[in-house]
Amino acid sequence: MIRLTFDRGSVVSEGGPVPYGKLDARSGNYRAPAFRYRLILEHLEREGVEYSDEVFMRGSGLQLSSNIVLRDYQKEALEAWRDEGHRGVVVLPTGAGKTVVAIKAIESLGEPALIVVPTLVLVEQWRTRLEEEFGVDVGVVRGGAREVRPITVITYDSAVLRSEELGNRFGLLVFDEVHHLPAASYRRIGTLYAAPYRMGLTATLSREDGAHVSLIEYVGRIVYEMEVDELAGVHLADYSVETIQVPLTPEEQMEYDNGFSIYRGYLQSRGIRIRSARDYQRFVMRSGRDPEARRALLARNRAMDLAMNSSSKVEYLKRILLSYPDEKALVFTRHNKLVYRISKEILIPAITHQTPGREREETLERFKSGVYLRIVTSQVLDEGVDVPDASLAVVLSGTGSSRQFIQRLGRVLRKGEGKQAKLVELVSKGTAETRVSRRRSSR
Amino acid sequence: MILPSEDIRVRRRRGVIRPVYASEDEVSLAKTLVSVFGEHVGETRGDLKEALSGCEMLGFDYRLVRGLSSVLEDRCVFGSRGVLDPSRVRRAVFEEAGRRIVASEDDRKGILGAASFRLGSSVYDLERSLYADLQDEQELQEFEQVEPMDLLKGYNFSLLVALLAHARHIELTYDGDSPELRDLCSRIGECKHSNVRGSSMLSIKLPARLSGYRASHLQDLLTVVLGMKSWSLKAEVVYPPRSKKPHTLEVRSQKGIMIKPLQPRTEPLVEASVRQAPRVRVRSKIIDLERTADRLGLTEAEVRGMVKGLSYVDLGGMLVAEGKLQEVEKALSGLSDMRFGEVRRVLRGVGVKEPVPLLEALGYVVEWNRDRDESLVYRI
Repeated sequence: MIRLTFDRGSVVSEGGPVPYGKLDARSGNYRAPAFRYRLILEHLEREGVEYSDEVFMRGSGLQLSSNIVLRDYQKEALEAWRDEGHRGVVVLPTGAGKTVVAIKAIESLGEPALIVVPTLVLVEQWRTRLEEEFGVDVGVVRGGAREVRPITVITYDSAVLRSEELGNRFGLLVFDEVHHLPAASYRRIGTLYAAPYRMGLTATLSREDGAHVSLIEYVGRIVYEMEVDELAGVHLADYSVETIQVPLTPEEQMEYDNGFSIYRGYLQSRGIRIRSARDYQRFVMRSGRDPEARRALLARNRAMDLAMNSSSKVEYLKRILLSYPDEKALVFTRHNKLVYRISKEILIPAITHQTPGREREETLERFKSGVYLRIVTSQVLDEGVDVPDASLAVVLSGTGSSRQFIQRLGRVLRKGEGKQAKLVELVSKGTAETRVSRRRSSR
Repeated sequence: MILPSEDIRVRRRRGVIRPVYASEDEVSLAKTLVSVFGEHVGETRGDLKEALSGCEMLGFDYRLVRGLSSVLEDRCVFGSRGVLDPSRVRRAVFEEAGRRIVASEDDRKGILGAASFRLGSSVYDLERSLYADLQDEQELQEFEQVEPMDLLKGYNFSLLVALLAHARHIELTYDGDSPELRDLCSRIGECKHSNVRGSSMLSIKLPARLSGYRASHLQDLLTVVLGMKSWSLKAEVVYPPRSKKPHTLEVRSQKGIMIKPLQPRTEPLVEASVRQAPRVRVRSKIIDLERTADRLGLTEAEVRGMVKGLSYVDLGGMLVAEGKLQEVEKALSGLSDMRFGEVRRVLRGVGVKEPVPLLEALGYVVEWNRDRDESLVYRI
């Protein structure tokens, strides 16, 4: 008879081989990554092998009930996840209610559940929400706090660190913002936990590095996906996206052209062609040993910096704000430098990673209550923070990531009476930034 | 001053590591950087950083530019520009701005004027204080000038110290004897001294991780050595830190050597004589000397020196407080089942986190079985 146990991120089989198991020469047992637990069980059942399963520290099942009533598309998402054997990724836009789908999943499954989230702010948000819905104490594991309960919220970092101890205590894993899971440092969570049931939540799954493909193995395939357009006007606010091409100032244009001519000149002189991200990486590596390459790289970076942080954009921003004087607005940039410039010039409160936590909460609270009508921020509010509702988003600069674009759009999409949300994107005309903009809004 | 690890420039070949020193050819860069720092007195750190990043385009190795800048930064005093509490200022300004839109300079002045009235300050102070808590907003208040050639020599000194900070072992040979050097060596690591026919040799074994205070003594050591007439230094260096095998670094006295410490700032922050070893108290009742030394960046001898307050029994690299040892032995003697799973459970019950090293130190052997918990534990 085979005896299955859990040991430090592995399922250990004593008494015979199991699929994905490797022989541990020292002990004579077979060890398989914990996430294969479910497949191992299925295999043993199918083959009629006698076994004793001691992998999980089983407690009594959870009796939970909430008053949540799901919308039609949320029901469909939950059913699709159930049909897939309680595994898979649900892709819904920001504001469409991903959290409630997960709460219903926890309720209906009745298994101890670990909710893995990327930020401390989300830990608190999830805990509050789960306690409100279920009326039970919810555990929290993060740096400095370690309180494990049948329903526990944990950060991605702590989930990696605590995998040995928690890997066999939860039947269900819920990954909020699951697009983080494929990151090299977090991928181990996918493998070290034995939980047979898994749900991933995200607004935009794709990663620029293509690593999201690995999610299929750890969480399951996409079981339900709905895009912003399908919900706009019904469950989300109606919205419009406008891209405005803003010319650089003559001085900026001259400097931009000069920077790019140094960059192009170098590439031509060395016969280098940049056709992919990999080519560009090679060029950056070259700049570590070749001062000319370094000069070209810095010239390019300066030119891009000018395009992204152009003075003209600040002037256009003033015009936009004047056109929508009563709208609650979020202004997004790529770099903190521009955030603080705008904050000082237009006297708008700023939120960046340097903003003290208390001040950030206070600023968001005042934005919510209407004391402040605008906030300027870089990338910290893109995700993982519950940002009060706004109706106007102005994107002054960003990455080429469609995920970032969709998340920023999501910040203004919460449904409101007669609300018409707007996203205005300012792009420096005739610069490489136009390509960045096309890339991010191509989806 | 010790260069940041990422700015170290070296060439490694066939087991030998050589620092890439700055040479006289780079004096123009040194001049430029000195003038950039000088011109930025009264400006913000952010502006200085931007100007320095522009210097990386001058065609020199960017790590040299950054290294020289680090050396110069050590001669700077930065301070806050604000006179008011920045978070209070922000609250006042943004509340005043409220729902209004700043479309012109007049709008802006109006809001700042109203906020400064509320806070009882001037608009000038208000503006300077608004984000004075950001590092980039700090003001370069003083910069102590330096000759470009001295800067290059000072850079080379900092580069050599930075590299030696990655050494596992240093051998220093010099004419005569120097109690000062011997004293400095003993502060850096485990030091052995020998004197043969008027020539001294100091052999220093350094911990895997060099603490700040120890690195400062290394700096002092090199300063003394460079002032001597005839010397040679050989070190086993592990750089970059992830590299698997050490490389040999050799430096010796020679005429016109371009390595010299920069004169310290007029008012050194810490006098070398009052520099203290880190005050760490090792409190655990079971101390694995090697692991603790590695964790704290100290030698085993230093860890022994820090163990205070309790009477310990030395079990050969494992120090166990007398009371704890009795407790452990009593727990083990009461065991009828000497299988590892049971032994571990009992030892954990008396506060032993890692049973195997302690068992080995007590003279037990674990005969590992396929099932770890079933392994037999017996005393030799």
